[in-house]
Amino acid sequence: MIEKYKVIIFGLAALGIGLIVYFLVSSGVFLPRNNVGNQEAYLPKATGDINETVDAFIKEASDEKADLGSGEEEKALIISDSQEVSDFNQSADENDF
Amino acid sequence: MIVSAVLAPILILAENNDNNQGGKAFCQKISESSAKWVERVLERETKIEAKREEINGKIEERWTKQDQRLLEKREKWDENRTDHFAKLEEKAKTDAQKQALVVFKEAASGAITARRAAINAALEAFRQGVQQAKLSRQLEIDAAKLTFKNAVTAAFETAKTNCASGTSLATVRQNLKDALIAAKEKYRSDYQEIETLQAAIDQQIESRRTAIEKAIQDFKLAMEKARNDFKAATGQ
Repeated sequence: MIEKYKVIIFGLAALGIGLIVYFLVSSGVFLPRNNVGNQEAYLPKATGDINETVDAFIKEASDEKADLGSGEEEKALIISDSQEVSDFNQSADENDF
Repeated sequence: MIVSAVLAPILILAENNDNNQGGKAFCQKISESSAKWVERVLERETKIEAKREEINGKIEERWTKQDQRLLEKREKWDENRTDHFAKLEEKAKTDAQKQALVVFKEAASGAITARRAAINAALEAFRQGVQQAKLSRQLEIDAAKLTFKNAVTAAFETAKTNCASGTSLATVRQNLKDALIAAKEKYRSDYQEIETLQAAIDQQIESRRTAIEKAIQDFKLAMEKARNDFKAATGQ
């Protein structure tokens, strides 16, 4: 009898976890890691309308700009040796004497 | 009284002997510390060198990927533009509409080419500036390291020489300590100065941002003009 209850409780718990995971994935809370920041640019469909055509070309420019980054990434890389460089003088210790 | 007279020279001799022993030990310690310091410096230089290689590799990789991504996206946008032109051509029935479309296509294509060229130039200028800033920083760091190493080496050599020539241990010890503290302080101040070189990178970032912003703005204006010209020519 106890075994039967255990199976039911375990089954309900598994179902509950499954529903929670399904909800989180379907609502976009969890996204596969390689999708983050790597989504294809949305290309506006050609309609033959001059306004939509111009807007599409302008969107291309905005997308390109967004894709270039700010340059701060390079700065962060260049100064990423700061810890090693600033610690260099710690090689000598006057308290040894 | 007699005991004191006998013991005093013995105690003085014993003290001198202790001083000599202590002196030798201290001089030996200076040599050992000097050798250990050389090892530690080499270790830290190796770490800095490894970090530099890592930085160079990451920057190179970042720019290669950026170029690749830019190229691929531009190719896709080129295809997309061809589709837009084709749709416009389908709808252009009259000679006036067809002529307006030719003008529009030339204007749009020219504006896109100009924008891309301006962005390419901004990226290239930025990269050159960043490389220059990185190199300047590394040269300044190397100079600071060399100054520090020379100062510490000189401090140890002076201590060894003074030790061998019989200068009092207290003086040798104090001079060595002072010299090491001064070398470290000089390095710290040089390093703080080096970090101000980050302003050069900030300047590059700002120039890049301004150039790209201008390229986009010029492009938008050109496209708005092309749109208005097209509409005016086709009576829209």
